[in-house]
Amino acid sequence: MTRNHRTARAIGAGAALLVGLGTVAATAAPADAATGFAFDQRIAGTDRYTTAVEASKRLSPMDGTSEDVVIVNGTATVDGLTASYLAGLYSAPILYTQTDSVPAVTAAEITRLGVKNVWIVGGEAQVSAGLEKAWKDSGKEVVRYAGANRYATAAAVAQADENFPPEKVFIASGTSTADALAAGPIAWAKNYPILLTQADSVPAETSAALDALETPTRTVLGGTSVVSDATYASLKATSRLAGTNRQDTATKVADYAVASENFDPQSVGLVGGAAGASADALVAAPVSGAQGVPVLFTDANGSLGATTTTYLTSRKADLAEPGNGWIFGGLTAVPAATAAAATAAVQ
Amino acid sequence: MFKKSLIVDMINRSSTNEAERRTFLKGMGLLSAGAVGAGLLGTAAAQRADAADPVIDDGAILNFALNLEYLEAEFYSFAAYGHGLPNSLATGAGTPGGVTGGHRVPFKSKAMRYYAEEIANDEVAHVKFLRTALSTTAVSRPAINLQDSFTAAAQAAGVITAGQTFDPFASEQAFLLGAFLFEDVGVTAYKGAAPLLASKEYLGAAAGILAVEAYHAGIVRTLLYQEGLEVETGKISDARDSLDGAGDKDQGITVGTGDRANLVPTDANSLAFDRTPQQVLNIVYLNGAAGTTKGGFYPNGLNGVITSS
Repeated sequence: MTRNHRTARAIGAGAALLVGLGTVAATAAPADAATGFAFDQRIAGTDRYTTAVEASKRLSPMDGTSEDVVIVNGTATVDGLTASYLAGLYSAPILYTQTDSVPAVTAAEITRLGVKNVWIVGGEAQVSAGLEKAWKDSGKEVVRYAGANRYATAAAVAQADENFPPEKVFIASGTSTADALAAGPIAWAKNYPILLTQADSVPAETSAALDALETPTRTVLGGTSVVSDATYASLKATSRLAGTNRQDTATKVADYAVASENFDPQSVGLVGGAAGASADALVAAPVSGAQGVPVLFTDANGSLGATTTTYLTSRKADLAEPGNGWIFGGLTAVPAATAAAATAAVQ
Repeated sequence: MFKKSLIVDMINRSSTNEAERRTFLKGMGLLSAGAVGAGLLGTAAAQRADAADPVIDDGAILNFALNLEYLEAEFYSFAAYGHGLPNSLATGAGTPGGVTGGHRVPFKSKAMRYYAEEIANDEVAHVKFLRTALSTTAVSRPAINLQDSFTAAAQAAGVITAGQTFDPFASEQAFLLGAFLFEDVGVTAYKGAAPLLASKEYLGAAAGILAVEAYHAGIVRTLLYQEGLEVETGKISDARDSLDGAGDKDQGITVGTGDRANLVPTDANSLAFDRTPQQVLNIVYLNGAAGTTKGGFYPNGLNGVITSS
């Protein structure tokens, strides 16, 4: 069952003010950072679970300050591909579990945050009914968004906001996930849902969700190889952000984010471009969305790659302190040499 | 919009010196358009030749306003978007400074995010407008503190006690309180500056900005009332009133004993209050003493001519 968090509520003065007490501005870019823009802000852990926790800590550094968390299976991130939108509705982080157990680091983070509401994305095969029951038994409210397939799950997530229709909708490939991940920070920050499609046909679940949302502004992510022109027409899409490959598409999304969605022209993030690094990209969305940081991909082999290198160099006049160069993921996903290459590209 | 002849006349009358006047004209696209004759230039230069002390002219007043707009734009940009103004909107004359503190508000309500984004966009637009009008005479963004300043203000107001901190970006409610601290000051600042402007064109523009600031203040006060934060807003209002000297130029969001809403602070004639630049500086410096030149939200003071309370 879904729950309405949009109802206007009268919050007592004391309770409301307490939210602002004892806190510090920890997520802001440091005003006195060292001279010279560099990719020196890395968010990483020993695995995807701890990377997600590190991202959560960066988003909500103060204990007890996030009532909401979005939970996704750490090894079935395709179901969570659209979780960035849901997390953004509540300014929440995204954490990973296994199907039948919650990693200790994840459980500790849920406790640290003071979570009261757990939003699950994915069916019971991804996040078991047992985990859901355990959270409920501990006094948390739990809401699950799931469908028979990734398209249906995305459609369910896209309709999570019962009060405000989204201003825009992103539509991306359900099988080539990088394009949806590139738009994750925008989806989080601006509350634009991400629906999924097949290249040459529109899944019925996606079509139905588009009808229900009634949002006329529909942006397709990715080129015609992942969303054909015919599919674009069927979707009644109004624009397309696409490049020659996933790295290039990410640069188009980044430019759009800065030009049209108030993202920071002075900051940029870097995520591993290999399929295995998609988990890092997903949990990057809340942090990068909260700071208005567009994300780019490395090449699949972890190197910076010609496309991203060229883009960074073209943006070096804008990329400047107090903006930051972020890296999401460990040294396997984004090696130190790649970070150095990215820094060199903007010098 | 500005009429070219009126602008030239205004700038010639109000510019502090020849260089400033030229930059004004150039910034407005008038100097190279042949609209300014040599005689006119010479007249203006002669009028200002003996000006030894800084003159509080329209440029000085607009730069004073620009300093305030920098503060508001940074506050709302961080709150709405998680980052501040780009460096390209922070350059100019005087001593440039960075911004300490600030981060995106963890919005739980799309409506609240919309409010924050709309106001942020307005404040950034005000910065752009004033910078364009002032051209190369525009002051740079001075150092701004969005962290310790709010804690100091909240402590001074009695909203929190010594040892506690107040982060206006920590929640939607905290954000509204932070916004409340600014908005009423902005309205009274523009109202107070209006009679000081020589140019009717700038007066019109200032009236436009004042109206927008008043809209913002009305939004913020209404939301605070809906959230039941009348006690905190009353304390902040009292603190502002204490800082700006004698007289009552500030009101909370309720009146009387029955929590009746008081969303539009006015005098007996239902006119908005006004504050002199010095009174405004007392508030933003968080120091009620005359002659204060820095502190509070501006740890190194303002840039421009009007810097001392």
